[in-house]
Amino acid sequence: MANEDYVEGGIETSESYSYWRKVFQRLKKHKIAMVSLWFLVILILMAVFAGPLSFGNNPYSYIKSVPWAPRPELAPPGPGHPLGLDNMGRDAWSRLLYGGRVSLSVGFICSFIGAAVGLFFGLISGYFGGITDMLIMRFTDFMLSLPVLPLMVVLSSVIKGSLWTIIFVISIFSWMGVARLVRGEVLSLKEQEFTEAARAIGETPARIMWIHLMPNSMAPVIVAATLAISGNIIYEATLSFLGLGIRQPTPSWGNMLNGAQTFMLTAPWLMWWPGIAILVTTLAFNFLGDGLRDALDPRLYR
Amino acid sequence: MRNYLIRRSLELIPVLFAIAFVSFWLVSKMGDPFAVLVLNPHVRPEDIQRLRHIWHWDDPLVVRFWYWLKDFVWPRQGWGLSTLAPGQTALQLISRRIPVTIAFSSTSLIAAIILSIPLGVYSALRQYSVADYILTFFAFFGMSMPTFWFGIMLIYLFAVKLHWFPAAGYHRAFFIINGVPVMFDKAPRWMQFLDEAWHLTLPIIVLTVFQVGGWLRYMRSSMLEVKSMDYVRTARAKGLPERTVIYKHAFRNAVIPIITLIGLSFPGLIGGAMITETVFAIDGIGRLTYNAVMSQDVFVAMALIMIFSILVVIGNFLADIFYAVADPRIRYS
Repeated sequence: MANEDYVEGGIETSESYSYWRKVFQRLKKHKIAMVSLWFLVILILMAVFAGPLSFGNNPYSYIKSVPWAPRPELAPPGPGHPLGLDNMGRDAWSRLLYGGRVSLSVGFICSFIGAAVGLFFGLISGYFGGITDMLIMRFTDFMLSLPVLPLMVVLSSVIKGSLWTIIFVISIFSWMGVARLVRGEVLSLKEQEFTEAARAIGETPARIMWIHLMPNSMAPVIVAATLAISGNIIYEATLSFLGLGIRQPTPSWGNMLNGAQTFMLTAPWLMWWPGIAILVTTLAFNFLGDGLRDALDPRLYR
Repeated sequence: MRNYLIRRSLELIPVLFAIAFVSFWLVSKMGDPFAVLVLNPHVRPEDIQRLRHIWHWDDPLVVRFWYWLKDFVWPRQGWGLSTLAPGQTALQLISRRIPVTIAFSSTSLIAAIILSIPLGVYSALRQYSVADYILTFFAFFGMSMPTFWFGIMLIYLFAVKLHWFPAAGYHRAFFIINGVPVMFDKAPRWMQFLDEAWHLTLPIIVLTVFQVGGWLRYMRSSMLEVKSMDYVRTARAKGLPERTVIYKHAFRNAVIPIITLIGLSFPGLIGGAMITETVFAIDGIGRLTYNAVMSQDVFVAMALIMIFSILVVIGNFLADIFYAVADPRIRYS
């Protein structure tokens, strides 16, 4: 029932509904953002349906022989194996699809955690002010002045292991931007009448933050979180490339490139597709984030 | 201003102290540096105990941290257990490796500043022109490009296929001068420099592209914002020539936030340098970090993280001071 005259749900819902509809209408005018959005939808579908799309191969099994190459290891592309086989004789196309699952989930989950933690710190810091604000902001500045990648490398060598460790390692360093943004928003929002009215009728700080301040400071968070996805995908790929992220045999776009330099002369096709996949995905998220920024804040013609 | 400088430098001390403790704690979780000795049949368990004691490895974390900090400031000689040669301290090793890292990352930093500021301004002045679209696209490309893959691609294209640049390292082992091999260290200074520049071209390109995109976009939006300000309209209304309006009134104000951005991107630069060094096999401190972590060389890794943190903190500090100098509206008391 996407009708603006349909007011049964009350004025508040109808208004917030039409707000997001307007945002989407503005986003639709942003051609490159829409192309990116569709591309990402296709990409996510490909990752979800990685099984049926990989022509009966799976990313873990060793192919015993292929007719067009003397050995299955590093065999060039051929029928049934559109991207060839990797150095362990595994189908590169299905590894690319399953790797997309890992890389995209790391990107999304880290960005979500980063946004949630950032929102939490930003709301508390901005709303309460005073010593709470000072402590949280000092901590944020401290985190921002750490050499991120060397620390990530050390951290992921300390807690080696699964997908969730990598998500943890990346998330630790991805909330500071959102915290600062939200704090800035809250500082101006809490001076406005509706917050004062909420305080006047005796709502608790937690409720004010949750019901009034959070939804109103959501716009920049969405933009920052979308842009953060591409950063997180690159972090995951980099750590996995260095051999410290997602470990074999689980495929990820980063660890597929792990040995790529070694096989540069014998099997250059192996290093193209995972890199292109990372590049176009991060490019799409960056364009989408940029489009969202314009759509959410029409006053800025950036 | 002087008071601001003093206050700002005093603030650095607790930050550095906190960073030192956190990184020390993290790195000390990395592994037991004495584990190698346990496997060695020539080393008696008592000796391992003694070594642990000498290096305070059997003390509580805080005590150990204190000794480590003392050793970091007044280094004592290392040992033959790690990447360190016998009698070499971690700082000595780092000081031998650090010049090349500083050389190529500062070159790319300067190149990125020189490229991104004028291009960003141009992009903003010609908003929605073909040039703006092309620059925007390239900026997004640079922002989205995974550094390590870009490095690999450049190596493939320019080193493997075209043979224009070397694929790895930052200088050759020896030169042939008049048919006689001459070691790199003994060669004339200008030959050394040219050879290093030739080796470092691709890494500098990688690191520059990594930084330019975001700054270009930021410069563009900062310029667009300033361009619509009232004082710019006033300047135009006064009948000032367009050049004066753009460069004296708009540009000077638009460029100030970039200083903060550059200061904030120091951690990114260090990360980028680390990846670039690993991909191009350059023996700087970035690659040293990676090797230290991979071989669980606790002492070297700790010293490196500390050096990186100091570099980042100093970078932020310098950016703050530049900001204070560049923006006369801000009063520091």
